[in-house]
Amino acid sequence: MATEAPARTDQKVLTWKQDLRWARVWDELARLPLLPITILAVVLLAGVLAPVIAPHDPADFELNRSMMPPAWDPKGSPDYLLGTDKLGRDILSRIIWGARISLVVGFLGVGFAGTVGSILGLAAGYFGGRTDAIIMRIVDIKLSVPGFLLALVLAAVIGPSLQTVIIVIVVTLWTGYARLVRGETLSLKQRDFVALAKVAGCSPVRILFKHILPNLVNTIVVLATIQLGSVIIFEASLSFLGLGVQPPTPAWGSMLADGRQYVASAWWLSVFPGLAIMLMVLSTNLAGDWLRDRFDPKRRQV
Amino acid sequence: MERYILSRVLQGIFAIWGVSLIIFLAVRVTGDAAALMIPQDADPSEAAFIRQLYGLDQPLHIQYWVFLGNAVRGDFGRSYRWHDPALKVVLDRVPATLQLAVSAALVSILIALPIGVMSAVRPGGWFDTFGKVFALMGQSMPTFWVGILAILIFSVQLRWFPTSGRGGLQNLVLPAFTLGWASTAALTRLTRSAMLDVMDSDFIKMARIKGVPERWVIWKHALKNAAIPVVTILGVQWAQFLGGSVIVETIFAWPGVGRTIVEALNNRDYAVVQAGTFMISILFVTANLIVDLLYGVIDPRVRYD
Repeated sequence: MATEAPARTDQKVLTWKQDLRWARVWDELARLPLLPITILAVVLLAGVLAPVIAPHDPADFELNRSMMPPAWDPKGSPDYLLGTDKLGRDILSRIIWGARISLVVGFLGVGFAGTVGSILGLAAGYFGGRTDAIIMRIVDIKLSVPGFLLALVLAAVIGPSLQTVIIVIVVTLWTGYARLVRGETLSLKQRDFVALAKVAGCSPVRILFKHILPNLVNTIVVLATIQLGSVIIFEASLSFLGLGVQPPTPAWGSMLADGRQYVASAWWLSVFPGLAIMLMVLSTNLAGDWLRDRFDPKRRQV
Repeated sequence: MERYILSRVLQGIFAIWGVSLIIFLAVRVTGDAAALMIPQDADPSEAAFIRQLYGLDQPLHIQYWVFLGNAVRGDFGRSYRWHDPALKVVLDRVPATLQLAVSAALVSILIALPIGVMSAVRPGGWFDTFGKVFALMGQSMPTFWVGILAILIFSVQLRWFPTSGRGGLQNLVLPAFTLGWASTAALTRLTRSAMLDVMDSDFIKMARIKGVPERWVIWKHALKNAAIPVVTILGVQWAQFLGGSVIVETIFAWPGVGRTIVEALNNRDYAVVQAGTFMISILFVTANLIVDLLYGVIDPRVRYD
């Protein structure tokens, strides 16, 4: 990644070094995936500041202004930029509030799944034997079942809610981390620094968390970022089928489900929430690819 | 070879058993199964009656043995909504789901292979760029949105295809495209990278030196060898087709297993849920087994021992 600095032999060493540093910083900045970062920042701000920036209360319904088209349509109103739904609720405000759900589910889901999967993967890889056999058998079962279907059944049985969605995502996604971390742990535990830690009398827990895990953080974070997009789609799909976040809480998936019935008469109900999902997922995917190339080049795709 | 097949079949059975256990426990441990089956305002005596009727007053391990014994004989209980054995309800809908999943697989192969190959032939060319953008869109657009957009554009605006139902070829086009969409993207990228790997190898150079026409080199020599990872990923995508069929069938009112499971979940018809999930798992495990065995056919270097 290092690049050559412009050669300036006629200047003092100090300024040359400063220039070099700035050139490096500038280089890094220029390589940042600006578009995805901007979109993610907008979504993040929208989610955090939803009560402040949303033009209307997302739950405020008024049947008089039901199904208003977007502002640029002759029948639209500049007050309701992206139009209103069948109850007269403002689409833009609901999308802004919906960002919260996607962000909360995305980060918590990936966070918990990554934690659970990594710990089980570390244990399986390091201790081997029966621990490994049991954990990996469960992973095998998980992988030989269509995950989304199992998630649906679990969500319905536990009872649909925000917590349920997160639980179901963790149950579905931990296996990816477990496999990845187990494989890496298997090779890391053969290395000298682990043997030395053992000789020095470190406990297994200390070796796992102080010596092995730090070597895996990059890999885990990269996988987590790449998965963020699919988790958001996962949540939206559950909400779309009515098994995710329940109304009146605005979630992008359930907005689409509402809009589906009126696709012939009111296209804006289904186009804008879908666009929000697509932009968000697109930018997490691009950011994930960038992170992988930068911090985990081994797994770079062609 | 026989031993390999046997061990894979046993693994598959083990996995299906695992699913049955998960679903059994999910329905019974997370709540009162009887309460799930009756309306919330029902009389307590009705709940007790239901509990006795379905043996829910027995200890859990005895319930499980009864469940397992019945399941092996294909008895998942009766669907109280359809007034039929649950397995029959599901079996009636398997052909529709298979038709949709296979069509989706065909659609994604037919689109992904040419685009992937052409991208690999000229990396960085306009076709490659197109493929890249296409793949990114495929990964980022949720299936249900693709379905709704397809209805909006091709049914509502252009009136080319019907919006829902199952019937002739016309009814199949939109659902198959929608279901194939996400996988097409993944398959395109994979075909491209597999082809790039192969195109770099010595036997391709040799073929070119021999004077084999470039068209043959690409579509016969190279593609045949790039097929192995592509078949692998198709096996993985099969899960997506089966899982995604739940959503696509719901959008297009396609009378398949996935939509029936969603309806059964909403109606608390757990006999159908169990039978349906069981059926999808069997389809899934079988497909993966077939993919594993196909390796040997495509790549004679693969030996199963």
